[in-house]
Amino acid sequence: MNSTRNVVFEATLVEKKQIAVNTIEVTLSVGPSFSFIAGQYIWLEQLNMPVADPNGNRRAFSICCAPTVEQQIRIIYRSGESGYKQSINALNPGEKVRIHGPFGSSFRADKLIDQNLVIIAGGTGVAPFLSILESLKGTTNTRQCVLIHLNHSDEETPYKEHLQQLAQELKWVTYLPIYHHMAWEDIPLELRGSPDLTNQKWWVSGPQDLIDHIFNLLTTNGIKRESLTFEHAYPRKDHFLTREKLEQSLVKEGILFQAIQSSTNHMVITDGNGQILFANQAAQAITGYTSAEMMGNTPRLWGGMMSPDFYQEFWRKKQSGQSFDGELINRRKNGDFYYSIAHIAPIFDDQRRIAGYIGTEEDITRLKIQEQKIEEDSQRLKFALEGSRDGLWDWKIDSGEVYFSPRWLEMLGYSEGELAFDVNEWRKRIHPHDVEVVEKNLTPHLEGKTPFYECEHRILCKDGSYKWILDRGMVTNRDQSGKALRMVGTHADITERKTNEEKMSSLNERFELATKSAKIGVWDWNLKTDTLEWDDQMYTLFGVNKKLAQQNQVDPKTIRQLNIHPDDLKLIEAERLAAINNNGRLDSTYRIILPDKTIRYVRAFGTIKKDENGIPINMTGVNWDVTLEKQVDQAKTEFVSLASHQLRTPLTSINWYTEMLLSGDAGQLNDEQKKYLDEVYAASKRMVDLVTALLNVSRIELGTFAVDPVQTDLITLLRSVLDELKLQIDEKYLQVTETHEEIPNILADQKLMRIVYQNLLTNAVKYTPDKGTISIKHTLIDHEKLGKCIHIEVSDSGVGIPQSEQGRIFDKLYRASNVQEIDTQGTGLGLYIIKAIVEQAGGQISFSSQENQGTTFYVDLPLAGMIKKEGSKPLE
Amino acid sequence: MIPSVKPQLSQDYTILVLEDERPLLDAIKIKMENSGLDVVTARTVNQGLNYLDELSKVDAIWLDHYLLGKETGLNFVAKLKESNSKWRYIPVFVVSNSASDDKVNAYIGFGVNRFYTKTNYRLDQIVSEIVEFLKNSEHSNES
Repeated sequence: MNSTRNVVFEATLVEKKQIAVNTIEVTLSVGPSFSFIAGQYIWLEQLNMPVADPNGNRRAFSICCAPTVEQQIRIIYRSGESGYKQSINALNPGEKVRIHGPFGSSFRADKLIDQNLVIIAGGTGVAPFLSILESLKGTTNTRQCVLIHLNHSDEETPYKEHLQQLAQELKWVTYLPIYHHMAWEDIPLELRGSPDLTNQKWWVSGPQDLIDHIFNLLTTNGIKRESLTFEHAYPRKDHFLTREKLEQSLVKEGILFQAIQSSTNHMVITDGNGQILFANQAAQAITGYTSAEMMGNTPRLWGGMMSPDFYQEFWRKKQSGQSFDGELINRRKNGDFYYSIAHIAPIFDDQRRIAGYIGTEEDITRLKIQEQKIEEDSQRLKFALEGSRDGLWDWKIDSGEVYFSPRWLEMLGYSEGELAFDVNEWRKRIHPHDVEVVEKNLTPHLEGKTPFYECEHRILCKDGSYKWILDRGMVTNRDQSGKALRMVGTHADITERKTNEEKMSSLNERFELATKSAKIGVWDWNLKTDTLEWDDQMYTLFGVNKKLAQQNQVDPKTIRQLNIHPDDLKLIEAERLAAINNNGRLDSTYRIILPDKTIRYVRAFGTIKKDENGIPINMTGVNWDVTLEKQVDQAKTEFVSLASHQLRTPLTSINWYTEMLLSGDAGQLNDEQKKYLDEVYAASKRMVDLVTALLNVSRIELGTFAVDPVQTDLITLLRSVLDELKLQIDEKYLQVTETHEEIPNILADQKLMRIVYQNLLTNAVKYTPDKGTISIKHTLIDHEKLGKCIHIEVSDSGVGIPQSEQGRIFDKLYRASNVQEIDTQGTGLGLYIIKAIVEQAGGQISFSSQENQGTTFYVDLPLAGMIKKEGSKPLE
Repeated sequence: MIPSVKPQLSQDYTILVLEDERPLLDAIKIKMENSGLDVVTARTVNQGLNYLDELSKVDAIWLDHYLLGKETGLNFVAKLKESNSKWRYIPVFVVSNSASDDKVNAYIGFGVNRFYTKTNYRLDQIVSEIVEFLKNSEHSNES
């Protein structure tokens, strides 16, 4: 065995003096070959011990001075009753001793200047720190150091004044003596408040009980273990293993020693105090510390990462002579953590006393990482399966053994343990109609012909129902011949999807049936690619042979372009673009010219689909033949038109001949003849009004009246109607007042609005007695339901409407009883017609009335105005 | 009391009246003749066109929409207003009980002078407006 240095030196006692109560300082002269670093310790071996000590003649002492050229070192110790201490008390200056070392790399001056540091030293444990601070005299430091010095009393505190003076000189050091059992609050607040500062370290030195107390104090208050460094000293016992004994033993066991050195497992041998005597090459390689760095240190050099409870149990076993086995977390010299399995066993001497310990460790970091990875993968798979709600199966093909996950079982209504882990539990539950498709998909994969297995099939549940399953899997292991040995897969419940698919399919069938029987064509326009797709019915609607069109590569867009009536093409295209860009709906009627040149009317209805950004991507719609409806509409319209003409023609005859008689074209009439003819003429005029009103009503009810809105100044329109009624107004001396706010022009069909004003004002004039009042108002309001509106009021001081009849005033042909007496000539249709007009405009009409006091009609027209409506005729 | 129309005309005016209803045709003829106008009546488009060919002059045309036969007043106006027609400048007054927008627009598009809805107008009013028109045309020709 090689030793890298000579660690034993002769030394001479120079001086002993008491420096504090029960505290002795010893100065030793060492030879020039001895050198040390501030913070290290030595073993002091007494050559002659006048008082025997069962723990032997060596003790460890920290050197409490800085290295100097004087070749002297100082140590301190507390007085005691032990044989060792009594022997050293008896030493006289000039007497020889032996020193071993120096040892220790835990506390070093270069580490101190590198970080904020809290030093907690108990009693003489301050020695290494004194050495370090002495060696740093005259230096500056950007870091701060607090030295907490624990003693029972001020008198017992060694080097108190010296340390206070040092602290003053080294301005970055704070010296804090404490004379009681240290508590967390004794630590300065600024250090307590930030225990996790990465640059803050804690050094602790003192007896084992102090170290244990401080360790617990700091770690329970959040200080991380890796921030702590400890050093303690125990008394050596004679029967402990020594390095020399060990070396001798190992040399003797040459092959065994070689085996130990070449082992890949870390092996360390310590004495009874845990001081390292030997470390094999693997231990050095694993921990990163050299043999020299380890010597004299304890395995805490790389250890000490575990919890206090762990160490309690560890020490209990160790000190009771039991072996310890366990998993440890250690830290290499470079700071990396690693896992190991440790076995620490005591070494007994021939009297069964613990002479030392042998510790072996196996670095299992890679294994741990793999375990963690497996665990992570397993967790991921578990979460993925749980999240997806899929069941897992794992099939050992040869044996037929299958693992079914709890979710797999749950899917079928079973609990764990209800089914055997056998592949037949799955096979026998496959729906009889699906067995073939399963085999069709599974066999090729087992034979290696497909990359994976996937199959949708039904499986029998516990309650007798069937579920649809998406069964997927892959062979994970094959033998050398390629035979599948193991397969793993998942079950996903797709019952809902299948049910929806069936429903959809059924819906589609019904839809197809409906569209076919109703001869409705369905189309789909992809706005992104500008391609149009038609179903068969669309081709039929356009009178085009689908097969022929496809053979000739004539697409629906082209057919549409060619077949739509040229007069309608521009309009339908404008409506299609309006649907895309604005309102999202297409509702249009246009003509197509069939191959036989006949005209077909087609109604098109479509809706727009937009993407997540609101951009139209698709228009889908239906078309159907409305030629018959158009013809019926035209027939109705023609009928009404014809009826209008046929009814009016004889009336015109009556009117004109009566006019001619009354104007004397057939000779002079007597008064009575004129009177009778006046009645005939009046009745004829009434008939004309009635025919006009009935025609309007029929157009309203047929929905065939046109609405042609233009920007309309309602006030101007009102006034032109008032002008028409001027004669009647003047004859009755009626006072007409107007109050109008400034209102905008509105989109309105002028003929229809004229009818509204004519009806309201004619009624007001007719039913207001002489010298009465009529007032007309236009304002802008915010209607609760209709939004911004033009509000029209027409008030009169007329006869009013009896309360009991107010509910019927808008009914067709209804006239209030009180006005029938006044005027027999009304049709009873006026209010019905204007209500229809106002509602067509999206507005509302209402009234308030009191008999013999007057009536006010209210009309609210949304500012948005009337919407254009195609119709065959306007109202008159 | 309904006033009678007795215009003072400086020359003879001949009005071609196309109307399918005999009673109305008679009333119109009476009224116009009482107003000092010469009246020629027709009940079909062809009849109307033949009269145009035969007569040396027609100063105005009273035209109903519905006439006997398949053709309507629109067909008559269309032929009247053909670009090479010698009659295309004769003023046309359409008097009909059918007054849909499309019909009115069609007649106006052909360049008729006025469209009257029969039931809305007194006979003497229509006649007096036609006379007034003729008198104004007379004066504008002179100037």
